[in-house]
Amino acid sequence: MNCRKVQKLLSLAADGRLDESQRAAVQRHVEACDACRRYQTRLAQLEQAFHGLTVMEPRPGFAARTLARLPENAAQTGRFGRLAELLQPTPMAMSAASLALGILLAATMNGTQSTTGAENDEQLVLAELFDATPAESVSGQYLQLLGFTEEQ
Amino acid sequence: MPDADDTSLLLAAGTGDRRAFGELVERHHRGVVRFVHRFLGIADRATAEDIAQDVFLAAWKAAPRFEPRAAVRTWLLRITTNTCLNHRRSRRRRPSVALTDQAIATYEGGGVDPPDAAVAQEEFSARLEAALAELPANQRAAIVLRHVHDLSYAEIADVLETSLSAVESLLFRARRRLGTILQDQKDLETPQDSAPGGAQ
Repeated sequence: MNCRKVQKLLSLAADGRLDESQRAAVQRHVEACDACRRYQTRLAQLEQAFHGLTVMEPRPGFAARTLARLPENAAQTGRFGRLAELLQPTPMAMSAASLALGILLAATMNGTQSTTGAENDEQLVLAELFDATPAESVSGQYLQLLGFTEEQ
Repeated sequence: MPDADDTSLLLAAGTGDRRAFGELVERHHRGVVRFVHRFLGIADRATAEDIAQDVFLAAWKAAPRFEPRAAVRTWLLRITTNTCLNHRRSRRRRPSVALTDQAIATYEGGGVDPPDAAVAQEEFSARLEAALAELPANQRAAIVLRHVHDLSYAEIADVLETSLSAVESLLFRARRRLGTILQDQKDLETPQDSAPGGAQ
Protein backbone atom coordinates (compact mmCIF):
# COMPACT_ATOMS: atom_id res chain seq x y z
CA MET A 1 0.00 0.00 0.00
CA ASN A 2 1.25 3.48 -0.82
CA CYS A 3 1.02 6.40 1.62
CA ARG A 4 -1.94 8.08 -0.11
CA LYS A 5 -3.97 4.89 0.05
CA VAL A 6 -3.03 4.40 3.69
CA GLN A 7 -3.95 7.97 4.60
CA LYS A 8 -7.32 7.56 2.93
CA LEU A 9 -7.84 4.39 4.97
CA LEU A 10 -6.73 6.23 8.11
CA SER A 11 -9.51 8.76 7.45
CA LEU A 12 -12.00 5.89 7.24
CA ALA A 13 -10.50 4.28 10.34
CA ALA A 14 -11.08 7.53 12.26
CA ASP A 15 -14.78 7.04 11.56
CA GLY A 16 -14.73 3.35 12.42
CA ARG A 17 -15.27 2.21 8.85
CA LEU A 18 -12.47 -0.38 8.51
CA ASP A 19 -12.73 -4.06 9.28
CA GLU A 20 -10.18 -5.82 11.44
CA SER A 21 -7.93 -7.03 8.63
CA GLN A 22 -7.82 -3.59 6.99
CA ARG A 23 -6.98 -1.97 10.30
CA ALA A 24 -4.15 -4.42 10.88
CA ALA A 25 -2.70 -3.81 7.41
CA VAL A 26 -2.85 -0.04 7.89
CA GLN A 27 -1.27 -0.30 11.31
CA ARG A 28 1.63 -2.35 9.93
CA HIS A 29 2.29 0.36 7.34
CA VAL A 30 2.00 3.17 9.91
CA GLU A 31 4.52 1.56 12.22
CA ALA A 32 7.07 1.56 9.42
CA CYS A 33 6.26 4.99 7.92
CA ASP A 34 7.03 8.32 9.65
CA ALA A 35 4.84 10.40 7.33
CA CYS A 36 1.76 8.21 7.86
CA ARG A 37 2.42 8.06 11.60
CA ARG A 38 2.44 11.87 11.70
CA TYR A 39 -0.74 11.89 9.61
CA GLN A 40 -2.40 9.52 12.08
CA THR A 41 -1.37 11.76 14.98
CA ARG A 42 -2.72 14.79 13.12
CA LEU A 43 -6.08 13.06 12.58
CA ALA A 44 -6.32 12.32 16.30
CA GLN A 45 -5.54 15.96 17.07
CA LEU A 46 -8.18 17.10 14.60
CA GLU A 47 -10.75 14.84 16.25
CA GLN A 48 -9.89 16.30 19.67
CA ALA A 49 -9.87 19.84 18.34
CA PHE A 50 -13.39 19.43 16.96
CA HIS A 51 -14.55 18.39 20.43
CA GLY A 52 -12.89 21.52 21.80
CA LEU A 53 -14.68 23.93 19.45
CA THR A 54 -17.11 26.36 21.01
CA VAL A 55 -20.79 25.60 20.45
CA MET A 56 -23.10 28.47 19.55
CA GLU A 57 -26.30 28.42 21.60
CA PRO A 58 -29.29 30.29 20.18
CA ARG A 59 -31.02 32.78 22.46
CA PRO A 60 -34.22 31.69 24.24
CA GLY A 61 -37.40 32.32 22.27
CA PHE A 62 -35.91 31.39 18.90
CA ALA A 63 -38.92 29.26 17.92
CA ALA A 64 -41.42 32.01 18.79
CA ARG A 65 -39.43 34.61 16.86
CA THR A 66 -39.24 32.27 13.87
CA LEU A 67 -42.96 31.51 13.88
CA ALA A 68 -43.67 35.25 13.91
CA ARG A 69 -41.76 35.54 10.64
CA LEU A 70 -43.69 32.78 8.83
CA PRO A 71 -46.15 33.86 6.15
CA GLU A 72 -49.73 32.99 7.03
CA ASN A 73 -50.64 31.04 3.92
CA ALA A 74 -47.43 29.58 2.49
CA ALA A 75 -48.12 26.00 3.53
CA GLN A 76 -51.85 26.10 4.12
CA THR A 77 -52.93 24.97 0.69
CA GLY A 78 -50.92 21.77 0.77
CA ARG A 79 -49.31 20.75 -2.51
CA PHE A 80 -50.94 23.68 -4.28
CA GLY A 81 -49.25 26.17 -2.00
CA ARG A 82 -46.71 27.21 -4.60
CA LEU A 83 -49.41 27.68 -7.23
CA ALA A 84 -51.46 29.76 -4.82
CA GLU A 85 -48.37 31.80 -4.05
CA LEU A 86 -47.81 32.45 -7.76
CA LEU A 87 -51.40 33.50 -8.23
CA GLN A 88 -51.24 36.00 -5.38
CA PRO A 89 -51.72 39.47 -6.92
CA THR A 90 -48.60 41.58 -6.57
CA PRO A 91 -48.84 45.26 -5.55
CA MET A 92 -47.75 46.29 -9.07
CA ALA A 93 -50.45 44.16 -10.72
CA MET A 94 -53.05 45.54 -8.33
CA SER A 95 -52.00 49.11 -9.16
CA ALA A 96 -52.11 48.42 -12.90
CA ALA A 97 -55.54 46.83 -12.60
CA SER A 98 -56.84 49.78 -10.55
CA LEU A 99 -55.50 52.23 -13.10
CA ALA A 100 -57.08 50.32 -15.99
CA LEU A 101 -60.46 50.12 -14.23
CA GLY A 102 -60.26 53.79 -13.32
CA ILE A 103 -59.68 54.78 -16.92
CA LEU A 104 -62.48 52.50 -18.06
CA LEU A 105 -64.93 53.91 -15.53
CA ALA A 106 -64.05 57.46 -16.49
CA ALA A 107 -64.57 56.62 -20.14
CA THR A 108 -67.91 54.96 -19.41
CA MET A 109 -69.16 57.86 -17.31
CA ASN A 110 -68.26 60.29 -20.06
CA GLY A 111 -70.70 58.41 -22.27
CA THR A 112 -71.51 60.37 -25.41
CA GLN A 113 -69.75 63.48 -24.21
CA SER A 114 -67.13 64.82 -26.47
CA THR A 115 -63.67 63.61 -25.63
CA THR A 116 -60.32 65.19 -25.91
CA GLY A 117 -57.51 63.78 -27.96
CA ALA A 118 -55.73 62.57 -24.81
CA GLU A 119 -58.83 60.72 -23.61
CA ASN A 120 -59.19 59.11 -27.02
CA ASP A 121 -55.61 57.93 -26.76
CA GLU A 122 -56.23 56.46 -23.31
CA GLN A 123 -59.28 54.58 -24.53
CA LEU A 124 -57.41 53.38 -27.56
CA VAL A 125 -54.59 52.04 -25.39
CA LEU A 126 -57.09 50.36 -23.12
CA ALA A 127 -58.96 48.82 -26.03
CA GLU A 128 -55.73 47.52 -27.50
CA LEU A 129 -54.78 46.10 -24.12
CA PHE A 130 -58.08 44.23 -23.88
CA ASP A 131 -57.97 43.10 -27.50
CA ALA A 132 -54.48 41.74 -26.94
CA THR A 133 -55.58 39.67 -23.94
CA PRO A 134 -56.07 36.05 -25.09
CA ALA A 135 -59.67 35.03 -24.52
CA GLU A 136 -58.64 31.63 -23.21
CA SER A 137 -56.39 33.12 -20.52
CA VAL A 138 -57.52 33.67 -16.93
CA SER A 139 -57.51 37.44 -17.42
CA GLY A 140 -59.33 37.03 -20.75
CA GLN A 141 -62.07 35.02 -19.04
CA TYR A 142 -62.25 37.64 -16.34
CA LEU A 143 -62.68 40.46 -18.86
CA GLN A 144 -65.41 38.46 -20.63
CA LEU A 145 -67.15 37.94 -17.30
CA LEU A 146 -67.13 41.67 -16.68
CA GLY A 147 -68.40 42.31 -20.19
CA PHE A 148 -65.34 44.23 -21.33
CA THR A 149 -64.69 41.83 -24.19
CA GLU A 150 -66.98 39.64 -26.26
CA GLU A 151 -67.16 35.88 -26.04
CA GLN A 152 -65.66 34.11 -29.03
CA MET B 1 -47.69 17.29 20.27
CA PRO B 2 -44.34 16.78 22.07
CA ASP B 3 -44.81 13.00 21.64
CA ALA B 4 -45.34 13.20 17.89
CA ASP B 5 -42.44 12.08 15.69
CA ASP B 6 -40.69 14.49 13.37
CA THR B 7 -42.28 13.07 10.22
CA SER B 8 -45.83 13.46 11.56
CA LEU B 9 -45.07 17.01 12.64
CA LEU B 10 -43.64 17.94 9.26
CA LEU B 11 -46.57 16.39 7.40
CA ALA B 12 -48.92 18.39 9.62
CA ALA B 13 -46.85 21.52 9.00
CA GLY B 14 -47.25 20.86 5.29
CA THR B 15 -51.00 21.35 5.68
CA GLY B 16 -50.48 24.66 7.44
CA ASP B 17 -50.25 23.51 11.08
CA ARG B 18 -48.10 26.22 12.65
CA ARG B 19 -48.10 24.56 16.06
CA ALA B 20 -46.63 21.37 14.61
CA PHE B 21 -44.02 23.41 12.79
CA GLY B 22 -43.21 25.32 15.97
CA GLU B 23 -42.50 22.02 17.72
CA LEU B 24 -40.13 21.05 14.89
CA VAL B 25 -38.35 24.40 15.16
CA GLU B 26 -38.01 23.87 18.89
CA ARG B 27 -36.47 20.43 18.33
CA HIS B 28 -34.04 21.30 15.55
CA HIS B 29 -33.09 24.96 15.84
CA ARG B 30 -29.95 24.36 17.89
CA GLY B 31 -28.54 22.05 15.24
CA VAL B 32 -29.40 24.51 12.47
CA VAL B 33 -27.77 27.44 14.29
CA ARG B 34 -24.66 25.35 14.97
CA PHE B 35 -24.35 24.37 11.33
CA VAL B 36 -24.75 28.00 10.21
CA HIS B 37 -22.14 29.08 12.76
CA ARG B 38 -19.58 26.47 11.75
CA PHE B 39 -20.24 26.33 8.03
CA LEU B 40 -20.28 30.08 7.43
CA GLY B 41 -17.81 30.86 10.21
CA ILE B 42 -20.22 33.43 11.64
CA ALA B 43 -19.31 34.44 15.16
CA ASP B 44 -22.19 36.89 15.63
CA ARG B 45 -25.11 35.04 17.16
CA ALA B 46 -27.83 37.41 15.92
CA THR B 47 -26.63 37.02 12.33
CA ALA B 48 -26.43 33.22 12.63
CA GLU B 49 -29.97 33.21 14.06
CA ASP B 50 -31.25 35.36 11.19
CA ILE B 51 -29.90 32.86 8.69
CA ALA B 52 -31.29 29.97 10.73
CA GLN B 53 -34.69 31.66 10.58
CA ASP B 54 -34.33 31.86 6.79
CA VAL B 55 -33.75 28.10 6.87
CA PHE B 56 -37.00 27.49 8.72
CA LEU B 57 -38.84 29.90 6.45
CA ALA B 58 -37.65 27.83 3.47
CA ALA B 59 -38.60 24.63 5.31
CA TRP B 60 -42.10 25.98 5.98
CA LYS B 61 -42.56 26.71 2.29
CA ALA B 62 -41.13 23.33 1.27
CA ALA B 63 -43.10 21.34 3.88
CA PRO B 64 -46.07 20.56 1.57
CA ARG B 65 -43.63 18.84 -0.81
CA PHE B 66 -41.91 16.75 1.88
CA GLU B 67 -41.75 13.03 1.06
CA PRO B 68 -42.17 10.93 4.21
CA ARG B 69 -39.51 8.43 3.13
CA ALA B 70 -36.82 11.06 3.82
CA ALA B 71 -35.48 11.67 7.33
CA VAL B 72 -36.60 15.03 8.67
CA ARG B 73 -33.22 15.84 10.17
CA THR B 74 -31.27 15.30 6.97
CA TRP B 75 -34.03 17.03 4.94
CA LEU B 76 -33.69 20.06 7.19
CA LEU B 77 -29.89 20.00 7.07
CA ARG B 78 -30.07 19.89 3.27
CA ILE B 79 -32.19 23.04 3.32
CA THR B 80 -29.72 24.51 5.82
CA THR B 81 -26.76 23.74 3.55
CA ASN B 82 -28.49 25.25 0.52
CA THR B 83 -29.54 28.34 2.45
CA CYS B 84 -25.96 28.81 3.68
CA LEU B 85 -24.59 28.39 0.15
CA ASN B 86 -27.05 31.00 -1.15
CA HIS B 87 -26.09 33.32 1.67
CA ARG B 88 -22.42 32.79 0.94
CA ARG B 89 -22.91 33.48 -2.76
CA SER B 90 -24.82 36.66 -2.03
CA ARG B 91 -22.12 37.88 0.32
CA ARG B 92 -19.31 36.92 -2.06
CA ARG B 93 -17.38 36.08 1.02
CA ARG B 94 -13.73 35.05 1.12
CA PRO B 95 -12.88 32.69 -1.74
CA SER B 96 -11.75 29.22 -0.85
CA VAL B 97 -8.04 28.70 -0.86
CA ALA B 98 -6.65 26.38 -3.50
CA LEU B 99 -3.69 24.66 -1.97
CA THR B 100 -0.88 23.66 -4.24
CA ASP B 101 0.43 20.13 -4.49
CA GLN B 102 3.64 21.47 -3.07
CA ALA B 103 1.85 22.66 0.06
CA ILE B 104 0.25 19.26 0.48
CA ALA B 105 3.60 17.59 -0.03
CA THR B 106 5.08 19.85 2.66
CA TYR B 107 2.68 18.40 5.16
CA GLU B 108 3.21 14.85 3.93
CA GLY B 109 6.94 15.25 4.15
CA GLY B 110 6.44 16.26 7.75
CA GLY B 111 9.53 17.10 9.71
CA VAL B 112 7.60 18.89 12.44
CA ASP B 113 6.79 17.10 15.64
CA PRO B 114 3.16 17.04 16.73
CA PRO B 115 2.49 19.72 19.33
CA ASP B 116 2.44 18.77 22.94
CA ALA B 117 -1.18 17.71 23.43
CA ALA B 118 -1.90 19.41 26.72
CA VAL B 119 -0.43 22.79 25.81
CA ALA B 120 -1.37 23.03 22.15
CA GLN B 121 -4.94 21.72 22.08
CA GLU B 122 -6.66 25.02 22.85
CA GLU B 123 -4.54 26.91 20.36
CA PHE B 124 -5.13 24.11 17.87
CA SER B 125 -8.92 24.54 18.18
CA ALA B 126 -8.64 28.26 17.48
CA ARG B 127 -6.52 27.59 14.41
CA LEU B 128 -8.97 24.92 13.31
CA GLU B 129 -11.81 27.45 13.26
CA ALA B 130 -9.81 29.62 10.89
CA ALA B 131 -8.73 26.65 8.78
CA LEU B 132 -12.33 25.45 8.36
CA ALA B 133 -13.18 28.75 6.65
CA GLU B 134 -10.57 28.01 4.02
CA LEU B 135 -12.00 24.66 2.96
CA PRO B 136 -14.05 24.38 -0.23
CA ALA B 137 -17.75 24.47 0.59
CA ASN B 138 -18.54 20.80 -0.06
CA GLN B 139 -15.58 19.59 2.04
CA ARG B 140 -16.49 21.97 4.86
CA ALA B 141 -20.11 20.82 4.81
CA ALA B 142 -19.03 17.17 4.98
CA ILE B 143 -16.59 17.70 7.84
CA VAL B 144 -19.02 19.86 9.85
CA LEU B 145 -21.80 17.31 9.39
CA ARG B 146 -19.45 14.53 10.49
CA HIS B 147 -17.72 16.18 13.44
CA VAL B 148 -20.21 18.76 14.70
CA HIS B 149 -23.44 16.92 13.95
CA ASP B 150 -22.08 13.39 14.25
CA LEU B 151 -23.89 12.25 11.11
CA SER B 152 -23.13 8.88 9.55
CA TYR B 153 -21.68 8.65 6.05
CA ALA B 154 -25.10 7.65 4.71
CA GLU B 155 -26.73 10.67 6.33
CA ILE B 156 -24.06 13.02 5.00
CA ALA B 157 -24.59 11.55 1.54
CA ASP B 158 -28.32 12.20 1.95
CA VAL B 159 -27.81 15.82 3.02
CA LEU B 160 -25.31 16.59 0.28
CA GLU B 161 -27.22 14.49 -2.27
CA THR B 162 -24.17 12.51 -3.22
CA SER B 163 -22.79 8.97 -2.98
CA LEU B 164 -21.09 7.21 -0.06
CA SER B 165 -17.81 7.04 -1.95
CA ALA B 166 -18.02 10.78 -2.62
CA VAL B 167 -18.48 11.38 1.11
CA GLU B 168 -15.41 9.24 1.86
CA SER B 169 -13.44 11.29 -0.61
CA LEU B 170 -14.75 14.64 0.69
CA LEU B 171 -13.85 13.77 4.28
CA PHE B 172 -10.42 12.48 3.32
CA ARG B 173 -9.62 15.62 1.31
CA ALA B 174 -11.05 17.89 4.01
CA ARG B 175 -8.88 16.29 6.70
CA ARG B 176 -5.85 16.36 4.49
CA ARG B 177 -6.34 20.06 3.70
CA LEU B 178 -7.05 20.93 7.30
CA GLY B 179 -3.83 19.19 8.26
CA THR B 180 -1.94 21.14 5.63
CA ILE B 181 -3.47 24.51 6.52
CA LEU B 182 -2.87 23.97 10.21
CA GLN B 183 0.69 22.92 9.53
CA ASP B 184 1.29 25.93 7.28
CA GLN B 185 -0.08 28.28 9.94
CA LYS B 186 2.25 26.73 12.48
CA ASP B 187 5.20 27.08 10.12
CA LEU B 188 4.33 30.77 9.61
CA GLU B 189 4.10 31.40 13.34
CA THR B 190 7.23 29.52 14.34
CA PRO B 191 9.93 31.94 13.04
CA GLN B 192 8.29 34.89 14.81
CA ASP B 193 7.87 32.91 18.01
CA SER B 194 11.33 31.46 18.07
CA ALA B 195 13.28 34.51 16.94
CA PRO B 196 11.69 37.69 18.29
CA GLY B 197 12.96 40.74 16.54
CA GLY B 198 14.93 38.58 14.15
CA ALA B 199 12.57 38.84 11.19
CA GLN B 200 12.92 41.97 9.07
